[in-house]
Amino acid sequence: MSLKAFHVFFITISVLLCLGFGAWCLGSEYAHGKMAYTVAGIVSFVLGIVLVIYEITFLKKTKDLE
Amino acid sequence: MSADIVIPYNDTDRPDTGLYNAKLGVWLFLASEVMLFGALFSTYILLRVGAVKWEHGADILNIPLATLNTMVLIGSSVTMVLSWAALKAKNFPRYRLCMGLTFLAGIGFLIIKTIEYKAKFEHGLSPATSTFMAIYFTMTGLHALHVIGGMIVNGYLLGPGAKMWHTEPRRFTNRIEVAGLYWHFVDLVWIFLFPTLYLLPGKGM
Repeated sequence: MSLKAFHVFFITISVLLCLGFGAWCLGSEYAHGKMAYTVAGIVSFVLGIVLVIYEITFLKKTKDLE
Repeated sequence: MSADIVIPYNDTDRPDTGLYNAKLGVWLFLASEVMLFGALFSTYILLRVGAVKWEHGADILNIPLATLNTMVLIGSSVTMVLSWAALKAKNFPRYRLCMGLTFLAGIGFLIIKTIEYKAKFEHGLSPATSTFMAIYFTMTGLHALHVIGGMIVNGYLLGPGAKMWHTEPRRFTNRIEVAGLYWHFVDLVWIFLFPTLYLLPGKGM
């Protein structure tokens, strides 16, 4: 597996973490009702979307890179 | 021995594996690392399942700092792959910039980790406090050692090791790819450590 493929795999796992952490911030008993965690949850979802956009851009720009 | 002896497959793929020597070597090494961290994650699961009480990481660990560290490592993986892409594009100044940023991110991670550890010790929390704290310090400490190891390699490739670019550019590019694979692995371990230690709920507390 090349660095490019491993990077794409890593970013995919990071996206899942962002979405999971966002869900934890908004839904867990510990974070429930705390304003800072609500903001962190929303930021985490946004970061997840940013990473997806980055991943698509990366794949397009490195089409010839192996 | 003649100085003309050439080590085969250090910048071309081996016909039997389809990989050049260093990439084959680093994947074998990473396989051993998977076993090392896999054993620790298995230990975590067994200790947790067998425990009557288990702390909720969020109650005693610093989630904002750990989240910041997660972002630092994800960012460093981006700069690492960009440094490799810069060499592929024969843009050595951009390589230096991206690798320098990767190195700085490593320093940033370690500073944040040190702040976190210091606060724990100041609050009287050490590996002797509980099973949870013992596995927390073991896993994050071993991970931090791996970050330091990666930084030594990256620092060498940024400094004295970069001379190779002028004599054997293909081989140097391969070295960056191999260092990048290791760095990504270390980052990936943290991506699993963060939710396991910081976010999973406790039991019996």
